[in-house]
Amino acid sequence: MIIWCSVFILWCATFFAHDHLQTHNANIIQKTKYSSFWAQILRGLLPLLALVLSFYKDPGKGILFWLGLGSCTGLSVGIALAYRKRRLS
Amino acid sequence: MGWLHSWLGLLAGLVLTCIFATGTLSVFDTEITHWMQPEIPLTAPPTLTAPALTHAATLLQNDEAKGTFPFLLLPSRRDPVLRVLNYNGHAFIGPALAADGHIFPARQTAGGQFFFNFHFTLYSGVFVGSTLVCLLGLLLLVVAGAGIAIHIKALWPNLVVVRPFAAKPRAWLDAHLLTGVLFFPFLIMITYTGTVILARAIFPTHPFVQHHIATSLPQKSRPRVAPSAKPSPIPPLLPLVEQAKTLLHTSDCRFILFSSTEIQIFENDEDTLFANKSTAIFSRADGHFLRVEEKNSASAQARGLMQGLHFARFSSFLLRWLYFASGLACTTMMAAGLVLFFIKRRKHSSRHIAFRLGEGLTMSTITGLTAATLSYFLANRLLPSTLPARTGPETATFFMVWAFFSVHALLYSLLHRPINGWRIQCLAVVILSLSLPCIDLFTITHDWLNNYGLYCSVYALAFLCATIAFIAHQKLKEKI
Amino acid sequence: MPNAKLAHKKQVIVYKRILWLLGATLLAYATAHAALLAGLDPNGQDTKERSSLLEMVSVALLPLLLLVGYGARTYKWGLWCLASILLVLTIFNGWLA
Repeated sequence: MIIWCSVFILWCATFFAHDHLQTHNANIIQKTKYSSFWAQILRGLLPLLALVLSFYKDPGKGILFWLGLGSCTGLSVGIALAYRKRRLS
Repeated sequence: MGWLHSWLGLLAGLVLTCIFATGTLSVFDTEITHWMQPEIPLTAPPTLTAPALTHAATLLQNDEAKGTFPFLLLPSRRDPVLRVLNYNGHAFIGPALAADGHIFPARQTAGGQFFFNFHFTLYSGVFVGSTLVCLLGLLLLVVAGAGIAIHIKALWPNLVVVRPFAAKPRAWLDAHLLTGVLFFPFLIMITYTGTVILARAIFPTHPFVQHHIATSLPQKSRPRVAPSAKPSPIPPLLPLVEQAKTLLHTSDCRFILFSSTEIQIFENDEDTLFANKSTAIFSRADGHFLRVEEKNSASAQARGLMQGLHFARFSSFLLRWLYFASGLACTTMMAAGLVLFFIKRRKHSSRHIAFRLGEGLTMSTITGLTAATLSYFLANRLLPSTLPARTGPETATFFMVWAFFSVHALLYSLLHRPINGWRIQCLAVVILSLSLPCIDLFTITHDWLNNYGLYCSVYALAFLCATIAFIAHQKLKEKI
Repeated sequence: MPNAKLAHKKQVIVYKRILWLLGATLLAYATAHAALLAGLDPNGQDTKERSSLLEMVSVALLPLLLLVGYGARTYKWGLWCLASILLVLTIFNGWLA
């Protein structure tokens, strides 16, 4: 269960980093060169780390966990960001 | 591609939404059956005992004498009771036995099997229904491909963008895109594997392929009738199961099939992705071992993988919840697509009769199916538990409620009052959802602590359904 | 342009699309089926597993071919592409038989 919680958190961070890099956020969240660099790194590495964690026990089912958790996390992050942007704007 | 996505999506989407919704419920078919048979305690660990198997064999022989083909479903972690099942044309039903061999006095129900049957045959028989479902699966693959082609440029930047507070078409489009893009791998995997499982239905039979000749005759969905020759008595089954475990190198066996000469014991495949069960076959006359049938070839493994991925009979609860959530998201994506189709065209085409019929059908698919599903659960609790042939009235309730909601939806849509129709149906869904936990608590006949996680999950889903329907009702109120 | 003429023009476009889609569907199905036949053994030595495997490939091919056939409508080469593949597979199947 700890592994799956970690995968969930890693996916969350990936989606937040991905959203931070998009141009449509420019007027809401302050973007610096430094933060963009780290967001790029996180977006590239965290899904890979999540994949490694998912493969740790059973590679067959691991890929299903990785994709399933990724999709559900993306949906949760999308909704959370929508509410956050509404509060900020 | 836009035209293809919109129109093919509309035509196929009305039925595909129902197929996906019932498929999503089928992920928990065994658990739904447990909820619908509260008389069966599920707290004991799965144990296979000689008295239970002996009594099951007696019941099985009685059923065989009536001309049916029963089989035994052995206890497992997911379903820890022994069951003697018969196919009634739509579902496998039959008594459940305790470890000491006594039959649990459980109410008769199709349970989760009803949704499973509806999912792959639309409750219209294996031949016609499965062919239709297979063709719709192919259409869904085409529609999904077209959708990706349309959205390809904005796919990456808008990966997690949803604007629920924006104007109506934008919010619905975002909901459609967000669920469609994030769950695209699941959508393609589940549609492709489902279509492959039924693919035999859509390609013509070739006289030079032996397997095609054997399966070319249409199989009608009616109970199978046993040949008139009297089968020999069944030898003690427990030693055979133990021998089968050794022969198949497995810790569990799942079910036992009986022919007039053989007993086939299948291994349990809950822990693997591959749904190709090896079988140990014994003689029915004296119980001596005949052979082991293993499906280890690459092509058999590939087919087993397709079935394993689609059937999702995994013992892992988390994985099945992920399947459920993904199925729900794909159903939402299709429903959002259908709603969006009519929002976009309401200004210019709302006076056309085809538009109004389409919107009525969409309403009956989304709110009507939800209400019918809730009614099916409610009927399980409200119908007398001793009613003979109880599965009939239960399923009839589902279809009658759906028919009633469909007529209501079409009437309101044809009378140019679709928003009122949506609101009334949403309110009905709220009432039905909230009455489910209440009626369950009032009619409860068992120890509440028996499998309380299952009851809490059903209550939570009912409340979630009520909340969504209530929000939709309030939003529709704002627009008038 | 008068409204009636515009509506008629729109109707013609829709009919053309439906025809193109029908053509693409028929050709895609025939091509996927020809691909299935190309993998089968005409001497009756095929097993259930082998034909199932070929059906898996054909099911994957069918929507892809349909999308190519219909999607490349703008450049007018979608149907030609499907017809060429079908022709090659038919010749190959004839040669095998």
